[in-house]
Amino acid sequence: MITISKSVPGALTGHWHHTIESESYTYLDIKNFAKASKNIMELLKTKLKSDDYSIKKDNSSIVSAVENFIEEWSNHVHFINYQEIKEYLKKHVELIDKLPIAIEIAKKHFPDSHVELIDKLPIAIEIAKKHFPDSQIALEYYQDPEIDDKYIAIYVRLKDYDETFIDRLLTASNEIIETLGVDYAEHISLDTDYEQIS
Amino acid sequence: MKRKYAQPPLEEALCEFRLAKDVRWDLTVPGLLYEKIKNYFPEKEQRLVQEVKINQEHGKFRQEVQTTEILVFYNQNRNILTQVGPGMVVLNVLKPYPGWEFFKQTILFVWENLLSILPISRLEHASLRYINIINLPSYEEKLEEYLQFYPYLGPELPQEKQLFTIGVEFSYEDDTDHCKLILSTSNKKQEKPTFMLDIEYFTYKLNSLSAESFLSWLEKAHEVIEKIFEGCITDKLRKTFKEEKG
Repeated sequence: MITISKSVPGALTGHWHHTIESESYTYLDIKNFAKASKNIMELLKTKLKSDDYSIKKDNSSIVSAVENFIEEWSNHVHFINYQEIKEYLKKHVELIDKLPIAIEIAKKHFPDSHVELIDKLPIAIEIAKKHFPDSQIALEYYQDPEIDDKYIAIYVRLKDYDETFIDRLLTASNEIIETLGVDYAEHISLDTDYEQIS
Repeated sequence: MKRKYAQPPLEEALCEFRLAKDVRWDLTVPGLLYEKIKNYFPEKEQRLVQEVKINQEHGKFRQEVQTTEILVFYNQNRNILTQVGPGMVVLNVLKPYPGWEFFKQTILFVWENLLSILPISRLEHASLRYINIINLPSYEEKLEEYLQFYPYLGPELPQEKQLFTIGVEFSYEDDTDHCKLILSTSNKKQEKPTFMLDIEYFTYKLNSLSAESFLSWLEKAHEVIEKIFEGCITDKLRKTFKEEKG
């Protein structure tokens, strides 16, 4: 069980309570929701009884999107400050796509001491998006067993990479370190894989 | 005479329109629209919306996820937003509701700017929707004293309602348009009983709405929604919304 609360303006915080065993994966892209939402799919499987379904969520309404998100995750996540979280998400509806990914990553790959990443990862993504508004953001769980190094890599992908790109990436990276603090920043790295988006 | 409330229960109002398939939508349209409306909607975000398809074959589930990129343009207060996806635009207003005239002008502002980018002759689908959250003072209160639209349970049935959803669809304009009315309970038990009253007027027949009729259609849709809303509530509930006289 993960607990999420909104305790400071502009941030959702999380605490890790209990591990739910599920198939692990090492790569995930925000665009590839299927990989990121295995828990949601598991929930759906238990709910569905007949053969074929097409589930069209009510995404046009912000209120419904937030209600659906809370309902889908309430079996796995305990929402403290329920009303405040709802109000916050209504004004940041784009976080609905990112929170499950942050929750999944924190749940699967980090020991108890790093559960605060549930909170920190969306902030880091927001900073990356602020510096690169037209980018695609991809996430990779990086693991180097030889030197026991592991962290979440946030990849910025652009249509074109000009000569200012690296400087902008460094500026964004420094802002992430300053905002999150060095202790958390060592688990989150801003980078690029130079993949070009269309 | 139209009623005005100081504390309306409106949580969200939204207007959605989907363009006919023959409109030549391409990837540049959201960016062009943003350039035209960014003074009013300066904050730009991105959503990924998924439609999940599940098939069962030989006892195993197969999942297919279609992802659509939606651009979200917020106003400075982040309570009014425009969502733009392929061939689709949604205008959302969160509480506090600025009133129909303001909402209509905002819809028309986006609509007219879209028309200046794309030649649009027809809409595949349009809808105007009002989502109200109604709180009763306590769980002891009788629903029928506050609402004129509620589930009826025969005497042989358990009378205690935990969760429910009821809905009805009314037909308008010779069955060209429909208005859907849904009353449901909140899935999570709240301190006070909470109900969602969701009223949506929409084009039932695909491609039935021409671009030049859009404004008159909007007015009609709003008029119907207003009547349905007033028809759903009793004076006792109306009193809690603090009606403004004059």
